[in-house]
Amino acid sequence: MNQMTIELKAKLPDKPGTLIRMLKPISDNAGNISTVMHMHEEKRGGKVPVIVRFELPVNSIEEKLQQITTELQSQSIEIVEITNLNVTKEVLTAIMTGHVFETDFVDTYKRINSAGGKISRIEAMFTDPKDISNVKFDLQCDKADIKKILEELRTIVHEKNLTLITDR
Amino acid sequence: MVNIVLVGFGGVGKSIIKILYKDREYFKKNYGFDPKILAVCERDGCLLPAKGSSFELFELTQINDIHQAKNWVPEKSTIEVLSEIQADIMIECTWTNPKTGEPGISHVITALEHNMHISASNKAPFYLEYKKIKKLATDRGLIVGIESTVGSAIPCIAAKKSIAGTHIKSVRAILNGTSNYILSRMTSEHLSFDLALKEAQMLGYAEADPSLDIEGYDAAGKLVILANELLNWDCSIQDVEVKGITKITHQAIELATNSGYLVKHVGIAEDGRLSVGPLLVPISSPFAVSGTLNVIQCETENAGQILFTGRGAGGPEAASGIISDMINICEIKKLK
Repeated sequence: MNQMTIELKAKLPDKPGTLIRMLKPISDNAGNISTVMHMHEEKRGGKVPVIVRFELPVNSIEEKLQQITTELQSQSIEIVEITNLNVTKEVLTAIMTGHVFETDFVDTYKRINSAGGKISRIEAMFTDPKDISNVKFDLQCDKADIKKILEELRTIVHEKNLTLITDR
Repeated sequence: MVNIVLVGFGGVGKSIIKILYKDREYFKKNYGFDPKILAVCERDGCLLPAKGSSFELFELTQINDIHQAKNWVPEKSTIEVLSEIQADIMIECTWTNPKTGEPGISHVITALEHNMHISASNKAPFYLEYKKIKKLATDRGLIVGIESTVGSAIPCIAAKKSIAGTHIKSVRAILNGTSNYILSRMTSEHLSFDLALKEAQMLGYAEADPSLDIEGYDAAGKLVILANELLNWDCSIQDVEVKGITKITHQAIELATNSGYLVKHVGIAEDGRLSVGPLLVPISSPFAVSGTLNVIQCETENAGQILFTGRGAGGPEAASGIISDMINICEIKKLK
């Protein structure tokens, strides 16, 4: 494939001309716009959520996206999120057992995030504060990051004397 | 007629004799397989018939304690018997030290050096000295049948030939029935690990010393055999990352099942890496087998995933695998 599909979410002031000001930088930078959702019904604080999907050539995607972002920001357009829809998100589930909280849980959390695992959900079970805990993490990540995340999880449990069960 | 030395007269050895006797007409009619037992060896002696003859299968089925049997020769070593008797096949189903592989390795090497094919249920020689044994066998034009070492009668080793049309890229498997039973009971009855283990021991699904099973060592050895046989790897048990099930809690299992997963002890040979340990498998997965069942999944180049499942342990089950190997040897080598 030589085109990537990008989804850009922004919040626009509800004033005439703001939508075209958002779409112009995309179009000027070779963006082939396929979808525009202007969600008036979700207007909050004078701003309307807008989702635009467009295609960019693969061989210049980084450069074009950077240019589009810069131009939008120069117009004070609030960008919420930019997602490359061609990059499939994986969901990874991991359970840690042991003294998960007593072994610097914040450190564990941060290290998983740094490895590329976006923690979307945590569930824990333990019978007593002094007892061992069982913690389930649901992670979202790019497919390319799975190996790195698994290695980091294994390193963490080895250092902290925890037990790890994953779905990979 | 094919001449056989049986080494090991425990649960598996006795089952082999029982089945060979019970199904003798079936084997002869369908496969031309007519075995003659020339000797039965144990650690502390051997059973030898009158010179030049072989044992009647029925006679052997009647033996409970081999030490009390007529023709028992105490202190006659297996190595001596293998060196003296001219047999076509040696069956190796002794108890063997899982760390050293002895006396199984010595039995196998001696038998090969005396031009006997091998049919074995004893794993340790093959996850410790696979390369050496295979080379010796190949150099002498001999066949080493080890179907029974992994999954007993499940024909997973035979998969290499039966799905030769596509090469196998990786293997995932539940290889230890004791661990699978314990995890199944922790899941279905919310038992603690200790209670599930006690139950398994009472029912005979776990040994008095279950450490080889629950620490993952048994599964690791079997995974090595699969990796060497099916994936053409050159590995031994030291190459496996081994994790057992002793630290799995019933709370962890509950967290898993609440999310649609089961916790299973799975061996994985993939991308050059060998590991055995707990894994989350979806409840709808073919790995969601309960009790003492084994599952072996081959990921193939052209045909996707191919699965084998069945009872992975037991005297009759292991004996079935041994007899399958012997029939195969006889067919290939035209032994009649």
